[in-house]
Amino acid sequence: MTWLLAALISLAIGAYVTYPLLHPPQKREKEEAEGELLSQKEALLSAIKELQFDYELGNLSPKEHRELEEKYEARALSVLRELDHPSPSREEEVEREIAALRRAAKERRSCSRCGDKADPGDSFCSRCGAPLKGGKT
Amino acid sequence: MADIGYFCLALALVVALFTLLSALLGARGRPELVAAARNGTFALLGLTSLATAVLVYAFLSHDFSLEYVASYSARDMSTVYTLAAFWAGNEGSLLLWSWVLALMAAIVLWQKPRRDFLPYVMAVIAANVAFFLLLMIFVSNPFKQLPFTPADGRGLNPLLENVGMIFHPLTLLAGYSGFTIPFAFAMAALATGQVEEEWLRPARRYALVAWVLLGVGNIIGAWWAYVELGWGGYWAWDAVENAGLMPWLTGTAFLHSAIIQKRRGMLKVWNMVLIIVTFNLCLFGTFLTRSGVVSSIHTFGISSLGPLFLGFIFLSLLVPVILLYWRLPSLRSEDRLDSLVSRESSFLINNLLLVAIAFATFLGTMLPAITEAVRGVRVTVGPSYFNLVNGSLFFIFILLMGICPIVGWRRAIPRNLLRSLVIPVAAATLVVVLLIIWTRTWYAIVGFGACALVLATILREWFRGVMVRHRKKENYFVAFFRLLWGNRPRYGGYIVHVGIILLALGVIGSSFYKVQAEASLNPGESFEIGKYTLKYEGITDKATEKKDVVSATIQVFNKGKPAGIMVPALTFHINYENPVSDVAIRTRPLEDLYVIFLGSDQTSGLAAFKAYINPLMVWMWIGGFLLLLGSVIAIWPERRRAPVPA
Repeated sequence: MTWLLAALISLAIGAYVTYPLLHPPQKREKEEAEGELLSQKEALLSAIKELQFDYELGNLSPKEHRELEEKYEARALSVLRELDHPSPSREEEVEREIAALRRAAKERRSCSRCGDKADPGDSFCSRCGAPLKGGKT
Repeated sequence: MADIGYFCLALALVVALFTLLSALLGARGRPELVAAARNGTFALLGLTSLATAVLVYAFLSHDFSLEYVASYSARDMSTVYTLAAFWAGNEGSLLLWSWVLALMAAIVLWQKPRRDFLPYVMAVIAANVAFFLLLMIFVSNPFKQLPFTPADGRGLNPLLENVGMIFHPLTLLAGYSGFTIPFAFAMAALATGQVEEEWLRPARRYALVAWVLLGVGNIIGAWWAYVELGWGGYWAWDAVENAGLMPWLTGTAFLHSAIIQKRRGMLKVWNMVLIIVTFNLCLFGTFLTRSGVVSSIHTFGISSLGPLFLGFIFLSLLVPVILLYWRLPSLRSEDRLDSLVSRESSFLINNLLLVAIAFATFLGTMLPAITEAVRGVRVTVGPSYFNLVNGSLFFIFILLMGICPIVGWRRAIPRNLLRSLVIPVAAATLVVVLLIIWTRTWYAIVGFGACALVLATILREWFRGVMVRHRKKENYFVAFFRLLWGNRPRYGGYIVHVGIILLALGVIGSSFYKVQAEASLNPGESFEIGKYTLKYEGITDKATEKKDVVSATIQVFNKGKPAGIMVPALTFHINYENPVSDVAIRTRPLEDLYVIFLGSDQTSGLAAFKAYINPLMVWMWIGGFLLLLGSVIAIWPERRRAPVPA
């Protein structure tokens, strides 16, 4: 009985712990990053509120209050900006670059005279000098 | 059933090591490994909970085939104490420690810490849980079985059968293990290089939880000693008491210096050092309790765990120090101290004082062990050393506690500072003058004056806060509560400060104005102590199968007027050699009358008594309650506002 129970516990724990290795979790970087930003925003807002209260109490000189408030506000602003327009994650950036390269490759034209591949933006064929179709002349 | 408990511990060790490895490897951009470590942490809670449940069941079902159950419980014990016997010895305490740590780890994960910190936080916690599991599996097994099953257990030491037994070890252990969490965040910050204030927010929050648990644990311990041990005092600077005090002091320092880092970006290295020291002092406290290196009244738990703890402490110091050294360049202050008269520097001085008290306590506690190692002779220092050194340092500390909140940030404006000091100084002067009329105990007078200064400062701060809100058209009542609830960390903190001052009042009162009397009386005779006359009426004897309770009835007269009956007693337990004293305490706001029944001659009825008048004692316990209340208010989580839809 004890052995059976022990085996069951081991099985359950083993399955639970190794599950993410077999089924890698869905990436939820975006949601998690947003959650972190939100909590940063909360913290900064309450810091600004506390600063204001300290100022009203007379614990901070106007100059000191202004300086600290500016510091916190700048940080809060960057967090808010980030929340509104999240900067792409590294992976998204890489994917975007790859897509751009693919697109460029697809769009690569060839010279109508010698058939050589031309770089995007070129106006004349780098091999035979013939004007390229769609190029600036 | 016990086998399942042991099996859970063994499996938990495997899971803890897996979690440690998987978290560390996962930190290098392998989310599936981090997720596995996350599940591993939750599994640790499951397995330690199961092991705990098995041990609880063994206690409740009186399974005396387990050595631990047979050593600390008996059939005639009430259910509550049978349950509390869980943490009466090493084995159960270690299991409790691991379980509390696993529980806190699960709470941390549930609160979703920063992604980059998460793996390291889990790794540190898993390493700690693994260490405690190793101890249980190889040295101090709670599920160890006896070769035979005794009919009954030995039961709890009668001194431990007190309500303090339920809460004191529990809160203290939870406090000790709780400091692992802020330590884990500090390590995560060092490992990731994110050493700005991001780690401080969760670290300070969890440190506050551990701090209040430790503080309340210490106070309950003091209360327990006062009502149960029957020596008229509550704190003896015993090695194990000191062990609980030291991390609390450095933890207090951390809670305050963290504020400076959050606001000014200063003291970054200092904060790291404080949290590393506090965590290690927690481990050291357990080492002291369990090793027998220095003698203590808490000698019930001596075992061979000492060297292992010392080894773990060594590692817990070495790794953080290396990490700290590595990150030193990024831990530079963003700002510098502008003036000696500023909020920052007053916080820093108070920090240094707290660390100095902790160091003096450490030195006094470890002196016997140090001198024995160096000179071969154990030199001990008595309470007078601690009272003198720590008493003086505490006095300056309290004085500064009154000044800190009114000194402006960066550079105090002298005119404002002086204006803020007028009322507190006037209050302190008034108290000092009134006291001089009544007493000439200068240390106490100065101490009470300092307490008055702090109380007046806090009341003034509170009053000004209410006035600021009142000017915004809030009535005083609403302004008061909104002030408290809208600035919970700050005003919760002030409530804690009031609690500390009440504690200080109790300490000063009972230390400097204690009155003591002793007498041997025949029935009908009386003796005097202060304004009280204690008349001994007679003895009653009540014997049961397991114990014999001898009670003395004493009639109390206050300035000649009857003021009630007090019944101190002595209990003779069949299983225990020494009788246990049940003291009688009459508590009033200004003083406690504390009567101990020392013994009697059954034939002649002659009985011996010792009595104390302990002034202001009740304020100490009220102070302890305020400490808890203020901390709960300060910790109370902010309700996260739902994001406004664009």
